[in-house]
Amino acid sequence: MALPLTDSQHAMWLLHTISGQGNLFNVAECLEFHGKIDAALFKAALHHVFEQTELLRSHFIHDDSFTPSIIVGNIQPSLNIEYLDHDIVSVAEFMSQQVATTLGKSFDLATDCLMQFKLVRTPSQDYCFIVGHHIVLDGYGFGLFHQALTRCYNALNAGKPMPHCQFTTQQQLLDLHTSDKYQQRLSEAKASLNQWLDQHPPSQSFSHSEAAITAPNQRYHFGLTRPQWQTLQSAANYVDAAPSEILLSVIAAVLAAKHSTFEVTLGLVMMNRHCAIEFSCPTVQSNVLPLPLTLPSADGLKHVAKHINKQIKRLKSLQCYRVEHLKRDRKQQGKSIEISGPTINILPFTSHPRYGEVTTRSHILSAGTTDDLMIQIYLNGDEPAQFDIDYNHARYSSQQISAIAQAIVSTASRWTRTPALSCNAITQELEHGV
Amino acid sequence: MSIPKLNHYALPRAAELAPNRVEWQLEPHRAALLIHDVQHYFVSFYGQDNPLVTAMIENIQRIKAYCYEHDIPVYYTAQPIKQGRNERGLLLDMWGAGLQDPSQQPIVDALAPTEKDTVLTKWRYSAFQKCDFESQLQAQQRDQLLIVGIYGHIGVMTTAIDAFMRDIQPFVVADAIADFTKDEHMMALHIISQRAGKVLTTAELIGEASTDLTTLDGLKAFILPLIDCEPDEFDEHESLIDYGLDSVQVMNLISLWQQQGIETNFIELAQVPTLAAWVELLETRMAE
Repeated sequence: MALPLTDSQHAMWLLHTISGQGNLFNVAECLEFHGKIDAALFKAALHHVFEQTELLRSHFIHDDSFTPSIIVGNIQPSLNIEYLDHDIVSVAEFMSQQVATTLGKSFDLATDCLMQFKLVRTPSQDYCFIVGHHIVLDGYGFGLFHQALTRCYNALNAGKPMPHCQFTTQQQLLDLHTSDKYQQRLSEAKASLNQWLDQHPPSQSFSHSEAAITAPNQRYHFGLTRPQWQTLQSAANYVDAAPSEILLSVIAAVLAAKHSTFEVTLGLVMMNRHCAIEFSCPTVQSNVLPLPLTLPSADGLKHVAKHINKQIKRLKSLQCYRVEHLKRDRKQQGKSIEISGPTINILPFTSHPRYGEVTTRSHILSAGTTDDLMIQIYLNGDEPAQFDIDYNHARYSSQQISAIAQAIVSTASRWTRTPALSCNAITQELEHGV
Repeated sequence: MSIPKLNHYALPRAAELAPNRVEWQLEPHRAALLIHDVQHYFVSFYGQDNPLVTAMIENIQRIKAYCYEHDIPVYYTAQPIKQGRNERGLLLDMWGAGLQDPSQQPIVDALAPTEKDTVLTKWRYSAFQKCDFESQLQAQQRDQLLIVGIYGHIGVMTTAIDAFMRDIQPFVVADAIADFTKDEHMMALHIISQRAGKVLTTAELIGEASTDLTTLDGLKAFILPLIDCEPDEFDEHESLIDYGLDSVQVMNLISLWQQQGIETNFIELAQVPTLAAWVELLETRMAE
């Protein structure tokens, strides 16, 4: 039976269809096993999860008037297996080679299984590369999928029947999203977001270029050292904020220094899930919304972080309104559709599930595509935060990105060592290259 | 060659500490407190208004008050100024000339000794070296030594090991010492708890109840301030997401549970996002 798409699926379908470059909307992860798994059990677990999850088996077709709909298929994922006769020395380098060969291909939304799996087996370790289309999975969806897969594998490994995976169906999602209550929330969010943007100056990012994206994003990786992270955690305790709010304060200050203004707008990736139905569906649901900030220039880190906390709380109640709809509203009102500066994606979902006795680590290889830049922040408890900047090479050179990364690290280090320093002092130092 | 400029870090939580090898119990009539080297000079390397130093001093103040209340004698160590080569020995090669300015010599104001306290002259890493500290403890029939102050992996650790070798039981208070870095702080605590003493927290020492994050009441006390909610307005069967709890805060809770050996993950918590359901899940995990 063909069903309509949710707003989030529809937005992703349009991006895929209009761009003509569907590969830009692939997402990818590598599951690194710290040992060897049973490939037959893994394959059986994978098939079971697909059998139980109609949203993963879905195809996205359209009629002659280009109205898309979703149909549930019976397709099973294939698990390609590649054997290597040597262990991998540099996991990072190996992964980037694998990504280059797998991420470049576009899925056919109407016919393909929208997740692909490749198990790479070395003498001492296994790796599973997963490439999916963003329309069937977002970051949270990946987590949901992994959890189901681990449970099924471990059940099989223990000689028990595989569990029932209680995933939401498309119909349940649609019922929720067409309910009066949800529609009411949407219209309130639409009004509030537009009003919010009207009160704020136009957004700016780190580049003035408006060049469109023509190739997959490039990635720049960096991180904080252990002492830097420990001081950041201490500063967060001291100013009564979360480490993520400290990092957002730092990025906002770096952007403020770039444009000599304390009114900046970040783009924030929001999970956009509110209730059990949404928390049990892997399909795309995340949203990127503007986070307008008026940094209190005379105040220190405590008040900047508090302002960010307050603005995020406001944004949480508005996150159901799609960014594409917001841009359309702005265009219809003759206003700029550039509604936010750099996008920030905070990824706190660290988990290291065991497959039998084998521990794992998940590497996010691609979390989607941006036409400007997206800073992925990986939070991992007491381990130092790591960052990836995914950027549009048509707008930024690698030197510019490296300078942004350095400014983030040095500002994080400087401001958390001395949280009383005012936002103004921090931006002055940045402007003068201190 | 001098001591480097030092940054702050968060003092360790009880759940971060390795289990002690010994089961010694502190007995007030056997114990003495040593406040180690908290002189202006050593504190100055942390810079002004350093959150680490502030937190350490607050904990030492509480411990000192506890000791006064329980008739536990309080000792301080303080290094003298302008030591010559003969007095300073090899410390000169390692750290340079050391303390020169008389204004930097006193104990910091917030912990200033009273006439009830004894200030020992400190010559080497261990407070026992070139000093009659051991005799003073013996005279007071004290064979347990509580140690707080700076720096964790240098004087505090060495004094603890020296005490151990003199059959004096050292008790080092994990969140009442400070160090160059968190890693060195944790290393010192690890060596003491595994090889030469007992490590405990201020709350444990003075008998304060700590929040149990596996019970409904403990979790409520932790979560309500995060979501700006009054206890009488909170219903543990309502979705925490509706209350505004976000993924980052949930992940923080997960890592705190992990330190207690309880494995959960965001996805399974998000699918049953009520406090009542979480407590049930934690009870199941702890029983497994």
